[in-house]
Amino acid sequence: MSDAADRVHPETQHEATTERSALTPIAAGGHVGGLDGGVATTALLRRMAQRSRGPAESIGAGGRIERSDVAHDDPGTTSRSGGVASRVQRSPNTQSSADSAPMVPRIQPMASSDMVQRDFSDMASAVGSGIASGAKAVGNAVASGAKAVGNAAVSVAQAIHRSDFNDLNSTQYLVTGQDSIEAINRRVDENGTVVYYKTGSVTRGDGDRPTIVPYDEAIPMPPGWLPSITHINGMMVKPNEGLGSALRLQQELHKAGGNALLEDDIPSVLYTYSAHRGFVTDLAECVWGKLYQDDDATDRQTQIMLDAVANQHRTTVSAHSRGTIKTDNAVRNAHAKISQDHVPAASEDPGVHQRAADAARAAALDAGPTAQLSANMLESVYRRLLARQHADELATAELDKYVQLIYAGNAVQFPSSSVNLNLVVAGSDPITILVGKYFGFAAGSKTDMTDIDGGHGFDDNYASTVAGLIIADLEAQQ
Amino acid sequence: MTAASAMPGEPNEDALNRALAAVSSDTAHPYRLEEHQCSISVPLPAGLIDDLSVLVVTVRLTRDIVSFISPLASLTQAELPSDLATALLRRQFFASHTEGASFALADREDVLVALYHWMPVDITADGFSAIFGRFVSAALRLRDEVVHMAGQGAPLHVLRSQD
Repeated sequence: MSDAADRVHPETQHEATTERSALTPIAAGGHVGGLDGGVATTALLRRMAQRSRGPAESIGAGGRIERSDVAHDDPGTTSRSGGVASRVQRSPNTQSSADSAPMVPRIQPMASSDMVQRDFSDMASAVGSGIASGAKAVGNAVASGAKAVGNAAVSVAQAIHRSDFNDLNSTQYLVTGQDSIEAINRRVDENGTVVYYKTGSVTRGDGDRPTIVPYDEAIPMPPGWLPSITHINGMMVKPNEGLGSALRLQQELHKAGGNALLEDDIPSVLYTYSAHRGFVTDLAECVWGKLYQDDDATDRQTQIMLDAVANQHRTTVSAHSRGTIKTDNAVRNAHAKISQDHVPAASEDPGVHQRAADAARAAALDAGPTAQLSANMLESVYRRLLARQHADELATAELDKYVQLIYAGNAVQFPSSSVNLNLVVAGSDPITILVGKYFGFAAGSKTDMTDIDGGHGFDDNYASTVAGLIIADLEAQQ
Repeated sequence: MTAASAMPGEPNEDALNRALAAVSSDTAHPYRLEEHQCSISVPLPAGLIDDLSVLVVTVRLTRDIVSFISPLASLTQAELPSDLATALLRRQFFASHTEGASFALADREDVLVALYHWMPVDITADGFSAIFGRFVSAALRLRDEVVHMAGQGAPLHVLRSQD
């Protein structure tokens, strides 16, 4: 996101209303722990509340353009043997055999938006007609009202269409420098191997949208290539703003890595564009039944983490603002998936069986005269609990080993406690301040916090600190 | 008894009582529905959860729906803060994050509970025991989340063995 956010960007405004903590407790002196200089004043909170937008300004659209492979791929088929986490990134310019080049997916900007508009308008029209038909029986006044409802819905649809970048939602870009941005995608080949391939060159230009010129033939990344650094934007971010943030992060990585690494060793940034717009959009989507699925951008984030663990390749997952919510959901998805993959083996573990049987016997001995569960039932329950516990521990260890999580301008009220997390918190960032009232970390917390000065925008406030954390992690892995 | 409740002797109540008996240790005095519900204490293996030795699950029958309910925490302020409610609602959107269960506020007291409404085609002993076991696991998963939230300052008093 551009640093226009420091002027209280629409994203900031919107999240302040939809992701807000209760204003009153903070304004009344509630605790904002861990935020040096970041105490939310009554005046600040009041200003934010007054800046809240009306529905007409907030509406956008969202639909599902392309499912990621998260639900279909099986990264578990990739061998997990292979030793320590590797962050060494092969040169992205090294081409492998063109024989394995997948088809180039043609990027068709706006097609999906058109579909959203058409669907929405058609349905709105149908609603209006339906209401109008019914109203005929009871009088013209009601019919007029129904028509107004229909018109209002069409207006909503048009508003959504105008503000929509949904066709680019969850698209990914490889940023290697100011002059090198390429569209990139992921697939799994017939051997179950993850293959990233570049599909076109990208230029930002002056508008909101990048210009993508598809390659005649997709260019596969070198065999075994996986992203080492990834980033996802927040809400209400235009595609070119998001690409700008990814570029800024890349530049800061070069700065931070100047003394620590050779310039050529700075990995590219895999940037995922999230077109999410938040509450009002969700409501509109809900009306048309398009809400009840995961967001593709969340799926992308999940897949990045699953790939990292499955291939023992340490990857940084950097998220900003609303992107932290998606990423936190993704962390939980990944943890649940990895844990579930471990459950069958854990369930067959003789040690688990023995412990479950012993615990069931002990429970039977301790039981009083009241009714209780049978030993067989208890043993069955215990096997499940103990297997799950063991599987969870393995999943946590693997995610901690292969994923570095960084939330900048955090918008998550209660980030996952399962994995190590770096929170970067700017003292004047209203979003983080609002969720920050719950940052009273308990003993044993797996969250580290880095306090910085500044506001909510990623580029000028967070990029350099995030880059420093990434470089430090790269060094630690060497 | 409410109109929505199952009548004693109705097929669903009989079927659930048979399922409860099948998981009981004492066949002479098995678990049975009383006023359409039954509380089952599940002793937890030592060391599984530091501060909880028993999970209490209430099984309730409402017509043909079997509800599994387990208390997690009480509120330490009068109302559930909107941000906490938002977090709880976000969490349970994903089945894998909650193992299929949900958060809810109990009716009589403001107690945050883990909840699963089971809508079986038929209430069978095997089906009941399988769902019961899964619910115990899910309730403990949700409890972990609540413990985490309370540790970060959410106005929740998590139920512990000493309470």
